[in-house]
Amino acid sequence: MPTVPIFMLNNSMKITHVAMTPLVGAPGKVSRVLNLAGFNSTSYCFSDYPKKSNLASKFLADTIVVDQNNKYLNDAFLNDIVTSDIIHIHNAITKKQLDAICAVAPDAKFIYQTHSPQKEGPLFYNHADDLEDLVCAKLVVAQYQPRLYPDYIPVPNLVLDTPQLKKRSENETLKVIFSPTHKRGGRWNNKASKVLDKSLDALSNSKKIELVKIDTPVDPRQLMAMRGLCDVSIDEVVTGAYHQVSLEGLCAGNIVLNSADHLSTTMLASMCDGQYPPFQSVKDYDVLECLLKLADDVELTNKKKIESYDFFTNYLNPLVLIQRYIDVYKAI
Amino acid sequence: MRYFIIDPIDSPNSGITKYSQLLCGLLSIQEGIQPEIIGINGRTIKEFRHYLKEYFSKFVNNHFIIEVPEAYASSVLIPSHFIVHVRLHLSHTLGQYLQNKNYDSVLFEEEKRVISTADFVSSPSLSCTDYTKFFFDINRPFLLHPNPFIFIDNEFLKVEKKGKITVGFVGRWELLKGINYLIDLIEKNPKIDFIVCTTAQDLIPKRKNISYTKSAESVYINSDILIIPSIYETASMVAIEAVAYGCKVIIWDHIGIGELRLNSLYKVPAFNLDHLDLCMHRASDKKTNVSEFNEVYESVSSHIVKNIKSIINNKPDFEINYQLYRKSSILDINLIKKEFNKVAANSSFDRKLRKLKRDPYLFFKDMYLKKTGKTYVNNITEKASVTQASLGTVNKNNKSAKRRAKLFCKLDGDIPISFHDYGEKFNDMRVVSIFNLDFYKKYIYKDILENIYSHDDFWPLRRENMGRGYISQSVLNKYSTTSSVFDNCILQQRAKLENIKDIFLFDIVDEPFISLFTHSNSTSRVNLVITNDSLEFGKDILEKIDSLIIINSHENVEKLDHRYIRKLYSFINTSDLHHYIRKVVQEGLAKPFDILIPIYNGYQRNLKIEELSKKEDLDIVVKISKDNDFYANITNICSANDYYKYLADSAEYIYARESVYFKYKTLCDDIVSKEDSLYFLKFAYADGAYIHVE
Repeated sequence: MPTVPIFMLNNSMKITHVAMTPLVGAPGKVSRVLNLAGFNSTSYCFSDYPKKSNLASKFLADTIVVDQNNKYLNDAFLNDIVTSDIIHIHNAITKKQLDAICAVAPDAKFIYQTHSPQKEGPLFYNHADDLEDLVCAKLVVAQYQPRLYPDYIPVPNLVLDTPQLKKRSENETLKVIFSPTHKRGGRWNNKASKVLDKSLDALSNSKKIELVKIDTPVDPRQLMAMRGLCDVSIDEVVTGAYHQVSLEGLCAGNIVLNSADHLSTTMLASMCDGQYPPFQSVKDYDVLECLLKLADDVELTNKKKIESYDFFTNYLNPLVLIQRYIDVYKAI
Repeated sequence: MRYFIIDPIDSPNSGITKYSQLLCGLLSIQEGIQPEIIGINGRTIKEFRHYLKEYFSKFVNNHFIIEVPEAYASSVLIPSHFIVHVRLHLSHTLGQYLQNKNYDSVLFEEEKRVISTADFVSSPSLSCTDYTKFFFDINRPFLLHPNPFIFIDNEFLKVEKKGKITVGFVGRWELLKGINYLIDLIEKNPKIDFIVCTTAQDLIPKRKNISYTKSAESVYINSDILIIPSIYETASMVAIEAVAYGCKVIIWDHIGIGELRLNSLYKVPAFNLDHLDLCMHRASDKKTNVSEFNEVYESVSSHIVKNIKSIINNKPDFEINYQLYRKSSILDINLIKKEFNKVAANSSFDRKLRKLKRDPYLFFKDMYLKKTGKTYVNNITEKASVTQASLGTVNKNNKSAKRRAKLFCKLDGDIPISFHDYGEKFNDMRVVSIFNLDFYKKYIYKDILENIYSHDDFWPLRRENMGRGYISQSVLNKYSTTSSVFDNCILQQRAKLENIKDIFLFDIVDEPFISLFTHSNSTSRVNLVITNDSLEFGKDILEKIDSLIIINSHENVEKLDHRYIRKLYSFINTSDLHHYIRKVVQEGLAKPFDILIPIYNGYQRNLKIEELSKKEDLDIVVKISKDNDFYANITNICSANDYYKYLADSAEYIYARESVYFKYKTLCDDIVSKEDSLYFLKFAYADGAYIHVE
């Protein structure tokens, strides 16, 4: 089990994270933990999510939106860029924005990190091709994405919430939370499954489970609080991947159901001292059977909940995981 | 002995159903034969086939005969050790062929198999025998006996009438039944009363001299003459029934029933309306000899029973009974097809009018779709023939076959990148070929395209279905990076590519543009066709495309690194290219049975794999060897490439679905050692295959 490293405070390295959108808070969280580890880091994005998407302003806790009309914010951004040792670009920014950054920070080192698949939105193609001569290291989120970027260095997504464990008491109905953030299709973006919906409805209607289904995006802190009161978190169960929901489920002491394949779980295990996460690997057609088994067995539920909680506290501590990023920063 | 009669239609309007009932009635009074009808009873033909298989499999011995019509091949699953007597009634596919319609080639093969493998085959007429042998290319002896007759005590039935003659017609209101001749005849003879019993009353022309009845019996009783202007019939139950009721019956001389020696049957030269009209007037003067029917009934019934008994005793008598049959010449099958063609062409307006009357909404909807070019498929059999990837049939008379599909794109000058949307219909097999416009203008693809279009038995490559696009060299040169192409092609335009399954790029080797097609979605396959000997292209392109079809004389063909090519075909001459294009499309079509096959090791039967094979969402199975320390290396994994390396090193066996094998054919064919599987795994993972690791 890894121990939390003692960081040297007042580390002189300055890292600025830049992205087009908040990317559901991922760069902001890295930036925040880097600051906790003694680095000087700020996360910027060029625009928030559109208001009609219901995601607007929900992921800005650790990220600043660069407002061209706000002189002070604009100056702060430029000042950070000019004085940065490392500029960490996430997913994609426009050529114009990149040229502007390069013009004011000719000596900074660039790192590119991708969070999204190819051949579907938002990226479609590998944007690092445009930065080929510029970047010193290419990173990829250690989930399913490495298969699409095979020579990139996998790095973990972080969960900054406090781990919690609420055991299920006798005669208490199994509480299941399912919170798909969108209804887009695609090989990797897909989260919908009619079989899953039918299974959950059937179990819910027969009072075997208490279903907490969240169809529209809610504030991440509210969602985490709700998750903490539940026993099971369902990530998507159709693509073979796992997502941030699975990590948050472990943090909330939930049994996590997803369809993560061997590569995805191995990527996470490679971040966790070779330990595989206690995900319940199911496909949509297996969910009914899996939940029925848990619904009828309180002891089993609690055993698995403890496994999730233990795994998170032992291996997914953000102050431990941030070392992956620090190693890259120091290596370039 | 039990004698099962199979009825795959089971409808009161069907000749097969009537035949089954009459035969059952006839055999039930014979000593030692216990006839029994098994009807389809609301099942689909597929379900009925399985039902028959299960039904007969229950019998311990095979001491019974199964008589089954060839149409719809309902006996195709019955185990071969049972004795099957196939009775010809006019197979479904032969009927379609005569009418110049497309037919389902799978059903064709099934009907052929049923006729070829039956223990006995009998036919009601020589023409039916002849056409069946010709169409199915079968050469085996056929028994010949008529269909059983209906028995009527006809002496007292006939209604005495004076003055006007009445002409009857019984049959479905279809071109097959010769309704066009009937309508002409009615128009030509306004003073003759016509009485019609048909399926659709509202379609009968509104004239004073036509009356409609629901009862065929009423037609027989009230008519002096019954006309059967059907373009072809193997036999005719209506003719027999009418004769039994004392009607004089007029038929074309090639109709199967005309081969019988029956004086009440008047034959006129095929499709000659003037002769039909003349014969109708002359026959009205002649007297009906009802006692003749009773004599023929006796001899026909005894001949049928004799033949059935010969089948039961396994001593079939193939001699033709010339006391019953006349020696008659058989009409050339092409003349029947020609007549159908003529009739269908003449009556297209009528058909449209009928459709307008029957369903105005559908009429205008279809008209709109046709005008806007959104209709592509004429009937369902086309799709069936494609999914089975069969050779199918060619409809030479299909006018729409000459129409081209809408242009997919023409990117020239400064116009923004845009595409035609072919819609979601048939998007699982839509093919588009895109050419370099500068080369295209030199006519180098003309013959290649015509050769591709010659596959008009294959839906995706038909002229009216396969899309074409052109990109000029100036446009290709304009974009130097992938992002510049994507920036100039908006999302809505790129979304249209999702409705295309296979894109063939002819001599287009510009990487940014290839990326536009390969990276807009994960469902389209992009295939690069190189016909130019000296056209250069890089390794990065090979990694992006799904297949490479390259001319054998290309200067780099020997140097191609197979580790970076999913699928590679080379052709010697451009005249062969169309075969490879079809092969690539065909290999990518959905497969009804897609099992796991060994790619590396694992050649013994493996129950675990058989179980995993049932999980449809699983593409590849990799078993990690117990002796290997894969899990000890996890902390050393610094990229997905490391993962692939450790996985390939520790693989005990690798299985992949057949569809996956075809997708990575070149990579899979080259797997000899564990190391070779690395490249296959790398591509499969990147393309989104679901890989189960044991």
